[in-house]
Amino acid sequence: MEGLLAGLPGAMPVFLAPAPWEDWSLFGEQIVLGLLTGALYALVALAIVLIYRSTDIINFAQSEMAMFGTFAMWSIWLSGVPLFSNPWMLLVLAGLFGLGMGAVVERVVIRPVEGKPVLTIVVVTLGLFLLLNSVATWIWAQGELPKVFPSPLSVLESIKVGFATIPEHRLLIFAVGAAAMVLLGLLFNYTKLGLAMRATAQNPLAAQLMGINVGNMLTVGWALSGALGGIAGALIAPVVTLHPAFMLPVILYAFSAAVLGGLNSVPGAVVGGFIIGVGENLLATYTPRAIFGPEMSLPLALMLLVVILLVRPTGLLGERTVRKV
Amino acid sequence: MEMNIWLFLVLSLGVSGLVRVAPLGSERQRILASLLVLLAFMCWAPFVLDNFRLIQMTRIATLGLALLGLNILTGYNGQVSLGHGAFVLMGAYTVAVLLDRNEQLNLIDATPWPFWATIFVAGFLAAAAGLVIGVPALRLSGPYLAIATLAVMISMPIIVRKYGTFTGGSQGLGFSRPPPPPFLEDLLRREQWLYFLCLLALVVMTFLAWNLLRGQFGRSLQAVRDSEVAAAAMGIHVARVKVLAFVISAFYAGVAGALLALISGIVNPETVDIVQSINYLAGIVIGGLASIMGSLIGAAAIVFIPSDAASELAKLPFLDANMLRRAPGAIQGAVVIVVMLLMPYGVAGAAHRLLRLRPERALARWREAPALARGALQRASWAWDLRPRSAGQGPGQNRPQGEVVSHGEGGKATDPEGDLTKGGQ
Amino acid sequence: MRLKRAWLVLAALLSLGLVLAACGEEGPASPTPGATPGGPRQVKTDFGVTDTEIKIGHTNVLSGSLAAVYQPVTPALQAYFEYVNREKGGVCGRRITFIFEDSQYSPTVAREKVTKLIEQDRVLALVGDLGTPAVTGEVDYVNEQRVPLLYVSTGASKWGDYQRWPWTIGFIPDYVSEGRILGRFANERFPNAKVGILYQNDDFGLDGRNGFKQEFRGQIVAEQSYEATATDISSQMANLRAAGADLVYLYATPAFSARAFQYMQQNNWRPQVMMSYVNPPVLTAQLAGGGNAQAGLQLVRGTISTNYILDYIADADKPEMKEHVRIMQTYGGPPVQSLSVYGQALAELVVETLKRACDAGDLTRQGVLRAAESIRGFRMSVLLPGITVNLGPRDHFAIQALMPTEIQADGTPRPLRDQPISIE
Repeated sequence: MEGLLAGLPGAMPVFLAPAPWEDWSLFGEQIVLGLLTGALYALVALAIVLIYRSTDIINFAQSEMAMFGTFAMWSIWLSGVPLFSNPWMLLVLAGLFGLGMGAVVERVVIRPVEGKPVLTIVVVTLGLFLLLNSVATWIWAQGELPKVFPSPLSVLESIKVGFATIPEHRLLIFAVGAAAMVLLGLLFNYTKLGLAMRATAQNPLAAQLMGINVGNMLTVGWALSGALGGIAGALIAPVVTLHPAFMLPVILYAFSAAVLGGLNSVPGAVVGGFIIGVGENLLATYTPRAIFGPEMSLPLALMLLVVILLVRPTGLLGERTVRKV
Repeated sequence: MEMNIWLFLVLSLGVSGLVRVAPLGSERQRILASLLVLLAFMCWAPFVLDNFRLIQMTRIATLGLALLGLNILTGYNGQVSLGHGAFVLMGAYTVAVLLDRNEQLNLIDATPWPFWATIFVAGFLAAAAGLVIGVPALRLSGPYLAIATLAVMISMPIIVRKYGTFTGGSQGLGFSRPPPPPFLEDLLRREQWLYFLCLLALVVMTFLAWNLLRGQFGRSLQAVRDSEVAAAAMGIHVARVKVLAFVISAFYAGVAGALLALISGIVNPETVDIVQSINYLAGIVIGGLASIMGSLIGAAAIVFIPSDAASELAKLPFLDANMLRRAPGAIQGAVVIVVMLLMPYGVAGAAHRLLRLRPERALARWREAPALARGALQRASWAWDLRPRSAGQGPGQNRPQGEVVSHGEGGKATDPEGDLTKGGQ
Repeated sequence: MRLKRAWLVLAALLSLGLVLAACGEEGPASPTPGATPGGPRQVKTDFGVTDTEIKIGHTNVLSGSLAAVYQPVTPALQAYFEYVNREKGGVCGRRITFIFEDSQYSPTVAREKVTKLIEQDRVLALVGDLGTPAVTGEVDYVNEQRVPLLYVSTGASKWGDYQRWPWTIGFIPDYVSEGRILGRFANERFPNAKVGILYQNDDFGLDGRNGFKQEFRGQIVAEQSYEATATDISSQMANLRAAGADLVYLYATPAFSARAFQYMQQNNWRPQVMMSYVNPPVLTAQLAGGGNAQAGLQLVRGTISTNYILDYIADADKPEMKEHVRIMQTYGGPPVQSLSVYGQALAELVVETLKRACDAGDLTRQGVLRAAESIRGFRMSVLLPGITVNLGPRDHFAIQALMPTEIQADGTPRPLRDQPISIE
């Protein structure tokens, strides 16, 4: 009969990676892997920064909006219509769906609480989080989990870059992240629309006086963020498999990344993502389990977030804003 | 005798509510009387409710304390904290460690701790933690504070699980729940005794909170919430007030956690997690921000909605019972959203607004109705009255003489659209 | 005297509330008539049994983020009991009334709910409760109240502690046992392998790892763990590879097992893999292939795992599986998946237990426990051949045997031994 197992002591690691200078290829591989994971975080962090830069709101429901869209795409994929079985098509549709969803959420849920005190907005976004999570579970989670979600590039084929092999799909995420960063940077800094959005975030009243339709700017900001989130979800799902909570770990790291890089800085989000991705890997590999080990990577990332908020709230690359009373 | 819980609640709230508005005595006497009536009903509860509902009521009492603490911090003082659960968890673990591990760890001395002492320790330790969190929190505002507290709350169970020598790791700690004291042993079951313990703690600490909040401190809290700059300009030491708010709310949370541990007899990292912490926030929003009653109502909501909303809704004929019972999470989310939409000031706020309606004016208008009708008839009588008229009377002049007509007073009955944070008392 | 309208309003509300509350009931649903040929047998009863029904209770995590994973067990149980009611005339001439509650994966709430089930609904027994933290909250109280807590659906090994919790019986092969079985098998087949262990850092993974280490006598070159919240485990896999492992012992859930296979493919690394039975082969292959099941099966082929129930995809042609599908579809069960097969296995065992109690003439709580403890060599229809349930007063684990299987190119598991390995 199976008695109670007190549990064998797990404190002594059987394998501690050799120091970086002893095994450069492992070190290099960990860094490359970290950059790839970091690209995941960067993508979602960009969505967070986008909303913050354009509407000055932290969207706690970001992950669930992306999850909802991804599940919707999954249903479309399963419907069997030939056009919709092409994963590239799904990616595009995910973006469009996210666009629409962001706009609808802004109009219906966020607009009534614009300008209200912080608590209201926080509670509303949290409520949205709960609602989307529950509804998605109700609709899609009756069968076996996790679900399979297709990716445009194979998750199995990889490209050798020096000592590291990079899966094609991860390269795609990297590329999309970089493209998003560039496009967003261009949008915010070189277009009239971007200028209008920034003005709205900084001072809605003055923006309105200058003739900017503040309402539309807010909608555009949320719509773009929704689109980015939808694409991120569709790209991340093949990696972490699809289930109602699949975006949650990502969003936590993404928040840390966004804060680290600067909540109102687009390149900051990307840099923050990479730092966290690489840091996570190096920590897991090179610290003994008894002290830190891989299970502490999330708390450490979150603690880093707290420290950054306290010490340098605008993050590494953010701009300081002065609030006038 | 066993009574249905809803019957019991309707009875107790209804009777005390009637006492509150009965046209007898002064306002203060009415409030006091209604509270005493409510307390009497709550003392009667353990003898008329079955064990399951009694345990739920006990849990409501402990959560009420936790929510009261959160309301002090967030409702009265405006600091949004998603990490309140961390203090509750701390309180729970303090009790568990003192009662379970003391011999092994030889903390103070090897003799077992009396349970009531552990409650105090839990409260003060949590308050100390509140200090540690509250000081850096001064630098954060609004959503930043929310994120930071969210981060702390998510990390805590992971850390607790990892560094497990002290905390029992993922297995958690277990101990036996305190039995009734000798002089009550024959009168009360253990569940009843625990209920009274929590009720006592609730009453005492609610009274303390009420005292605190209606005095200068309470006003300082709200002043800081409404405008830090203005508050500072009026001489309020803003930093001290904000940190104190954290400390006090953490104390309440610690005590709540201690009681939660004592009534369950087991504490593990899942006892309070991030979902619970978010639920606390939802609870005070539903119940009513900046309102003591609201905190208690919110606690009841947090306990009853997950437990009964699905089965009660299933009784409606057009809803499929099976589907509903299988997805209680969706129902919870929906109920929370609906409540927040319909009652943006929370249940307590809605009740307060109900009480502030001016029934006399409405009744006065009703009383005037016959007179108004007569006046109208008089005015119209010219149609069949063929007597010669003097100037000043006729179809063009339709204001009756000597009648008092009240103008649009009803508009004032509704509050101007304001902040979510300004609720009832 | 000021007549406050609020006074009237409140009085009206109070009356309305009293009327509604009086109409509403908290009791369990009244039993609907079912076929009871021959009428109920006369047996000794104490709780939860009338001439027309037998009430059994159950808790599961039905809300929250974990609900999506575990929730299907409940409707599967419900469907099977309904099937028994409609097509087999119930048990002991009585209808099975199945009452389930949401434990919210919390010990405090679980304890409340079982209090309700025991004291309000007065169930005969609790069956199949799921979620280690939840059941941990229930177990002391249930044993105090002397209510059978049968066939607990968690893989924690502590439910077999018959001395501490005599009224509790475990069901699924616990993860420690699986680890031990795989460890023994590794001793048989791969005594000279260099083993690298990757495990999920929670009770599930730790149990699997500890069990394996208990039995395996060979060389373990590396251990890596990952959090259930991890997004990527390439780093851990890279470490295992750098340590020179040629057998990877993978105690992970499907999402992560799939990623492990992907890493191996991307880096052209083909160690022998052993994985836990919680990974249905075809699902894992689909996940590993990123939607391309064929490609995924190529990766998963040759992996060694264990089974105790039929695989709903690989064994779809077997008559027992077809019957399972029919039952689930007819009686409102969940979409067919490994958890539904599991649910049916559990339900069949429950029905058998009740039957034995009925045959012994004792349908009391004590009688049900005794009946459970008397089961030897019983097979549920959806169990793998060779696996039986054996219980006893000192054996509170229902299933302690697993068949090591090798996954073929089409995803079907091929038994690797004549007999399952048992650690009874």
